[in-house]
Amino acid sequence: MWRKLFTSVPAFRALKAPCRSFSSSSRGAEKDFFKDLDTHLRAFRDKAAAAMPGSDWSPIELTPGLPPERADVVIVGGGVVGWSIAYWLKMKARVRDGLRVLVVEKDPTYSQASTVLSCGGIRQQFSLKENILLSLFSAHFMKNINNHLWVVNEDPVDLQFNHSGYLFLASEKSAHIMEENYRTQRYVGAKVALLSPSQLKERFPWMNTEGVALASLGLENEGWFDPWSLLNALRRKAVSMGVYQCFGEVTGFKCAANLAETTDGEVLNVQRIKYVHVRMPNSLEYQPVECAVVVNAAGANSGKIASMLGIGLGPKESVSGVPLPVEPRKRFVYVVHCPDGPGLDTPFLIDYSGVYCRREGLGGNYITGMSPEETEEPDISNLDVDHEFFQEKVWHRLAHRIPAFEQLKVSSAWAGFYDYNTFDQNGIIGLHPLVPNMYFATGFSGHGLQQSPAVGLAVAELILDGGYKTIDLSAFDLKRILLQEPIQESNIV
Amino acid sequence: MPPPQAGVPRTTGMQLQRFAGQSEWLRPDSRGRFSYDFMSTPDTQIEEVDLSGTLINHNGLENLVNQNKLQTLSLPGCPEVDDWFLARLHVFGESLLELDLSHCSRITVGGLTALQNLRKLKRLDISGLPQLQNPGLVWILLEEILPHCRVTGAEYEQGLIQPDSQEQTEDHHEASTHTGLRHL
Repeated sequence: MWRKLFTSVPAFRALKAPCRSFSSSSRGAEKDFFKDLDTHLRAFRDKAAAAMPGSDWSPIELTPGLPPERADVVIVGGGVVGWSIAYWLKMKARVRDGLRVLVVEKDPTYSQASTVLSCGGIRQQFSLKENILLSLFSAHFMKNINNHLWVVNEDPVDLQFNHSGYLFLASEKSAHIMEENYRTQRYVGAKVALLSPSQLKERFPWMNTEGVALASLGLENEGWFDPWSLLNALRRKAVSMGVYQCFGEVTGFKCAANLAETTDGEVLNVQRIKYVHVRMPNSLEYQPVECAVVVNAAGANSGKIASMLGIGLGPKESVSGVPLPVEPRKRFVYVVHCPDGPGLDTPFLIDYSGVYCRREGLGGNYITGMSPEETEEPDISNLDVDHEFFQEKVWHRLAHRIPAFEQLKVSSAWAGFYDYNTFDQNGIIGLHPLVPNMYFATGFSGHGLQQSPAVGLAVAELILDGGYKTIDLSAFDLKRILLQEPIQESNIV
Repeated sequence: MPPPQAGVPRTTGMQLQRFAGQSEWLRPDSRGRFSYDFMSTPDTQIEEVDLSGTLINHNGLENLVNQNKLQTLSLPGCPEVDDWFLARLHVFGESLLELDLSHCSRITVGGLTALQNLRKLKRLDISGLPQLQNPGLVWILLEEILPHCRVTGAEYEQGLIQPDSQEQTEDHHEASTHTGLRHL
């Protein structure tokens, strides 16, 4: 009866597409018609909802690549830490559109991003329990990476992880620190072994053990991997879960200010961020993104973001006069070729003189470098490489430790920034008292990549659960900067 | 391709194992049942384990890590044995003499480098590993780092670009052999 009624009207007749099904019975034809009707009604309903205020759709043709007007969490910085936080926020939220997360990255080519310029090492040989736990969690994350980050119909993630371990060398005067650290590492669950100079010589005959009193080798969960693969895997999974990605630069914030009085009678300006201004690349156009929470994961540029909120720009004695102590520090990495160099057993070697070296591939190539002295920090306005530094500072120390490296050739070199925490060189995670909705996850001083999966989970727990659930990182809270209580890694280097 | 299931060890028990002091292997009989004779000697250590063709992965090794007298580990054709599994084998560094890794498709050079911790290893089989681009070179490098070990399963010619197959473009071939060595 219905069929006769609707087929008499030409408009509805058009809905029924010519169907070449095997069963050309009337039952099949009716089902098609109602299914079509249902889809059309649903499309109409969606369009109506989009036209209402509060949705993302706008009839005006806008610049492509603008971020949405509204987001729940805006993450400033699209490096490995930023994407890790985005991934874990969506994982914890569980519901598909429960939380709108936006990641803002200013450089789509990642040409200066610390993540991709990193050597890619991961180790558990730290002295602080929190650092060891962060790296251990990240190693376990990478062990089962396809359980976490595999996306349907895409290739499985391959980090190209080399399980060669780290080898730290200590001189006479720092051997006791190494033993102390070894005890902490084993207690927390890292798999490390101590080697005497004779064991070292037997194990690695290519090494000159002069001056070495003790060595510490990572047996498991240590080595190096490809940072770009990890970044892309996290990004791909996060985007598949509905995270918005925007290429633009954060140029300012619009805040609601409140005055608060401290116990000392000082009046502070507490700013709650209402809008993040995201400026499009090569343009003056910006989009104010209304948000509830902002995460500062901008790496080497975190200090700049913090200063946009007035952190560090107040009078010297007050809380607002203490800047975020994160600044970019340039580090050089040199690729050298030595055909007679150490073989497959080369660990990521870190000498007590500060020089480090690891194997790259199987063709006799190695990656090496060294941290410069505090007083001789290179210029951070660009990423140009100083080859003199290798000739004068790195080479002789390297050749002293590995005699085969007296004959080598520098194939290439690059430079990258550390998000260096000038206060105590450990990560800064948590809220600032003057900005109650900006979470910081920065200042890792060269360890950001290896700690990123764990840090992402920690920040997601802070935002969604209000406290740490997996690893307790209260020791890395931002307020230690304001209270002037540093927690230092006691390293031999 | 679904992601591998980690967490629950897939083997329901040791497929085959041989205890110290015994020459007979403990294996399931025709009905698939084990004999419980080994329960009478609870403190004997396992010497040889044969896990060929099982789905053991790095989590499943949890069952074996306490066996510090393990001498032989046979893992031919185990599809879930990967580099992280090899990294965990360092616990057998003082006792393991033989390791058979043939046809474990997930193993790459990054995992084989972890075998440097097995200082007593005498025999290592790396045949049939599809992810090794240059098995000949890996064979040489492994024999260098493991002093007492005989590595089988790879020939010197494997992975080398053969000169006969490209007669026309000689210089192109020259360039490609160099890149073949670099991109390993």
